Amino acid sequence: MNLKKPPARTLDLKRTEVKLTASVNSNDKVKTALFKFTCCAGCQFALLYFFHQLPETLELLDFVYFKMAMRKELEEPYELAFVEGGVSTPEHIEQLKAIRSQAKVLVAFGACAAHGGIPSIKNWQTERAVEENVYPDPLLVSSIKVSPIDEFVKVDYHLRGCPIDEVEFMELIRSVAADKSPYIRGHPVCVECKLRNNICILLMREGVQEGMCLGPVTRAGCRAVCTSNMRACFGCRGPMSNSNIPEMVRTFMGKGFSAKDIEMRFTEYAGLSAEFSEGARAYYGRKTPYYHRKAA
Amino acid sequence: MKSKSALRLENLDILIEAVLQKHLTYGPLAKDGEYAWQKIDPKSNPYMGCAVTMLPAKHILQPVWQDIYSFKFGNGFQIKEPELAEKIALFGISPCDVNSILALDRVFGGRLIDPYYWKRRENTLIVAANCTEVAGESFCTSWDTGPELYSNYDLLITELSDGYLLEVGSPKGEDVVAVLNLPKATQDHLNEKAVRLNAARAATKKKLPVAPDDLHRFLKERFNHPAWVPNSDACFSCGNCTIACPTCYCFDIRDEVMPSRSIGVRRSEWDSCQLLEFAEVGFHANFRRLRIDRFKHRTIHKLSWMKQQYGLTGCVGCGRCVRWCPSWPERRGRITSLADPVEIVTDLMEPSERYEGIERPGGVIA
Repeated sequence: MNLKKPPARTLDLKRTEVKLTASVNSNDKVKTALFKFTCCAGCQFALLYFFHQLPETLELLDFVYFKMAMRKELEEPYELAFVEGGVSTPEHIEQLKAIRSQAKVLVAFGACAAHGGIPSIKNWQTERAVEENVYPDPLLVSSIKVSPIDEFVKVDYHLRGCPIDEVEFMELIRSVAADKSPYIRGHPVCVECKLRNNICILLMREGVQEGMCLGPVTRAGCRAVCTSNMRACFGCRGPMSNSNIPEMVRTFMGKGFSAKDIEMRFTEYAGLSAEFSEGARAYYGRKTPYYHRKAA
Repeated sequence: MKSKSALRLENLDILIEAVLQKHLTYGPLAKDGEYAWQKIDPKSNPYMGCAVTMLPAKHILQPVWQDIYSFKFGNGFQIKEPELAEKIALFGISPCDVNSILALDRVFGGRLIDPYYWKRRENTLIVAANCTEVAGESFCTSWDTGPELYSNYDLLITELSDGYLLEVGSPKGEDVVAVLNLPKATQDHLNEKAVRLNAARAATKKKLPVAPDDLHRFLKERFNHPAWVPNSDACFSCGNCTIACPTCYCFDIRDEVMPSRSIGVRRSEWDSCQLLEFAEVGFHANFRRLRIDRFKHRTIHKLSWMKQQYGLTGCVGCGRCVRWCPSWPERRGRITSLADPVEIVTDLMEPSERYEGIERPGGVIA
């Protein structure tokens, strides 16, 4: 084929890029790469907002790869790798292992990388049903069940949440820059909610959908942003360090929520975690959650 | 300490204005259908009944997040402490909460003195309000921490059928009311106060089934009682009971260093013994890894050990743990709050054989 070469672009796209270099000598900074797998890229987007508010992050990090903000292709070496999104194709596994072999510190970035997140809802159906729903010819794609990234590689730190929390992110990068482990607590959302003098949604709004708050079993770090705005906790940060799932299921049952409601609430973000999948099955003592039955 | 003088007060507004002149004043104001300690201004209407607020008033004396000091490297090591000279007033604090502050005074002013707490405490004016009605969860009469306050106040308000009775308990309180030129209260008013408070006492149906002096022996004998198992199985370990407790005092301290690593802040934050990480030490060793240990620790510490340690009871019967515990299991045919000390003690009074072969609802999750 003899195609005509397109005319050179006159628009200077470089000017529209976010400036990711700060005045500090780049040798002192941590070379960082941010990779994206199966997710909505919302955590990357949230990160751009943090940059906007906190230029000090750029005094610590030197991004070598960050697709949403820079045109640069991946440059090795890098020390810190943020991996966003869950694994859902066979190629992802190879890429993830290549990242692990290169990075000194690997961070699961957001709910999808940490627990599978929203894409993991498809795991409760057959893969065939999912592919048929989305693609006209399912034989052309070979997807697998979504997994959190620590299913395949060792993850040093988890930044949970949908999206990630600013304060927790700052704590992590300061700690990585100082070569110490970050202060990420395992306490429940209830602690941070009560410290903010909020009324208890679980106790006050009985019987309505909004009262279905997963706060007592969900790991905090979000500064109770949902419950402070009178929304029930969705459990996006996954289970806390010592969660009591049977009691949570009993509480929801006592409030009259159906088995379907309870399963959907537990499988919404972190259904792949051992604790929340237990909650999803607990109502009937079933082995397979609700979605699977529907697809079969 | 006997009240020095009793005065008549027509309405609260003039007293609020007098207190506001020199003090940053907090009071129980309505928030989301509940009461919460908030800053008040002349227009606000603090609740003078039995205000079981969401967080107790201790968060004003010992803030949830507190910058202990900021530090700076370079040119030596410099420390800057916050100035806590501001005068605070707790307007409408209920008798149980005043008693809880006395317990905190022993904790922060005992063998080791917390200067940050004491700076605030010394600058605090306590305008207490006797409870002429009692909230359903409260059992203050069991400890005699309410509904009447006998001492340790600067000013004490009691709601009467027409207006208020204002008692002055200290020179600090005297200074506030001196400018108001209030009329003296008559014996009738004092009689009405006694009648109203006796009615409130009679209305408090909830009662601890064991006498306070006997609790230490009672709980010691029942340390391995099987009733602890179903109780702790229903516990979320969420820490709500301890955060809402007016006598809980645990906090965590950590340093926050800025990226430049030359400046930083030392910060304290409330902690809770119900959390797994609370008793964790090096190499992930944990003194209270099991939920049952943490549950037992909280209950016995409140009801007995705190009295052994500090001489004042760790429970004032305010009912906040009852109110804010998210777990409401069925006990003896009734849906009750798990954290309720009265229910736990009642469970422990049952013979151990009653619990043999009982099906554990969720099994023990360590």
